[in-house]
Amino acid sequence: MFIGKRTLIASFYLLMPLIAAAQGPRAVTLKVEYEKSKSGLEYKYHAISHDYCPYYIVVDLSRITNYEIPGTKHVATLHPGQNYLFRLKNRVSISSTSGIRYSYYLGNINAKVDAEYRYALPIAPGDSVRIKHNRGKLIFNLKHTSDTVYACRDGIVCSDEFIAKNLKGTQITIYHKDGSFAQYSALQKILTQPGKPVKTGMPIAIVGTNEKGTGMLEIQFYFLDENKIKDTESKSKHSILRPFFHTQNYGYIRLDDNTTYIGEITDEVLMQDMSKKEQEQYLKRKKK
Amino acid sequence: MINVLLFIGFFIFNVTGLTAQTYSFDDPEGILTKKEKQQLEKAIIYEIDFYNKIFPDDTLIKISDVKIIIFDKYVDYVSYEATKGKNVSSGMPIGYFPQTRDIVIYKNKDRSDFLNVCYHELSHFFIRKKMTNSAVWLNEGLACYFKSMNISVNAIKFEKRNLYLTQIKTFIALKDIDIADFITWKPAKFQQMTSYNNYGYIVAYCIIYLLLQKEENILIGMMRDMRNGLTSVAAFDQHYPGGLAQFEKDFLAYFK
Repeated sequence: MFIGKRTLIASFYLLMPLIAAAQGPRAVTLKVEYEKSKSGLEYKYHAISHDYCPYYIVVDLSRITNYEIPGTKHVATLHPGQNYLFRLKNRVSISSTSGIRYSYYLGNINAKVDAEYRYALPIAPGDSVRIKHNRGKLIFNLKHTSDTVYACRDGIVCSDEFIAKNLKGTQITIYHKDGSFAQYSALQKILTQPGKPVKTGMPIAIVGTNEKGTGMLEIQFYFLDENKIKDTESKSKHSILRPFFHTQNYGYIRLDDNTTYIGEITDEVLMQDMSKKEQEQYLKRKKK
Repeated sequence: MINVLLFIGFFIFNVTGLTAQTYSFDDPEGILTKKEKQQLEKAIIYEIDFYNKIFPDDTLIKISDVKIIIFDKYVDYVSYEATKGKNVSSGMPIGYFPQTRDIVIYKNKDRSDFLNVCYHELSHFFIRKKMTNSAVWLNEGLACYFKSMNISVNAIKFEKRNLYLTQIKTFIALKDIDIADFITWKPAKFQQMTSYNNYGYIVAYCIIYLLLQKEENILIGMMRDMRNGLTSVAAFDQHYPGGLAQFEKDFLAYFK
């Protein structure tokens, strides 16, 4: 039986994810707490995530003394809500557990990113757009300020922390089924909410404006990279993706600078994230 | 403006690689420490020997060809580069001017890899002396390779660039490696793609790393023929056992 609940605050540090987290409001996305047993000899740790997207946590237990520990390091993928982590059993007498430190990263390390996924352009079908690459982001030069931004892929909107404002406007992060993320930035208005599912081609935002008075949307695709998690030298644990897009005029392609692409959403694009059953239902509905 | 002109005199007595050398330094401001000067000298000599060994039949690069101007204030460095008509990209501690053959270095005390960046840029300086139009993958791959030099009193070691070797695994997992296409890239495409996790530098470094792991003479033969106009693709086909297709297979197997 466990009594007494404490939030571990003083003894941890956070390594924020590569991209957006550091810019968000200072809401606590993730907390690690422990419950103390009645005997005072055992502590049960769990993490509470207030986000709708997964996190990967690395808990360093190497400084813990006087306790039976499950290893010098504990790692786990955290889902929304409460996640059990581990128990510490006191070997001798009650002492502080403040040697626990942890880091967490947005993403799921076990996810297998689908590098060949066919993304939709973030514009209405039939519309055209020119793009540029800049610092790992795709810059979509939309025709007008206030143009609608459409989801490139099915997913779920991450927490408020990721609907943050930066110098170029508002941004939104969407988590995909395969563990990748799309961060849409330079927006003036968000049309969806944290925790809401989005579908390919669904309006999700209104673009901001650039110096020329036209709409300029930035999108960065990234994922939590297992190779970088394992490599202690890598400061950033995320890698940027170079996705393939479906276009009406060039088909399935990686986008090039200074080329005009026309948007199109086909059944093949729409059905990629659907289960077989969902695909059948979709096609049935379409026939009707 | 504080700057130091560093002229290094060098006399080559033996072109086969065994060389006797003398140096003269003029460094009254003491911007570089004694140790840094020694490390830089060693890097220069090593890289000169490397490039002279590849191209022994024409005029050898001499250390007296190298003129280095060092600044300890960024603003002075930027002003100097501006007088040469060059825009300094933020944070780059070194520049090279082919017309005057000046290497201009800003010693950024906050950058622990300051000397390694110098080794990288020196490679560009030397390769330009030997190959007027070197392929960008070759130019940057060699520069990244030399950047990994760890120079001590007694030895020069090439450290594995673990960050690059980690990232290349990810590129392979994402099926984002196409060597046949990559080695045809022009500088603009190379720079554009480098904004993705340092893509260009990492792939270029790994190609050079693997070629030198296999057999130095492969790279030497390729560079000689590429200077004579052979394309990168043809150079791989001609010098790598099994050609470019085999190199791609070996590359994926080695770094996976």
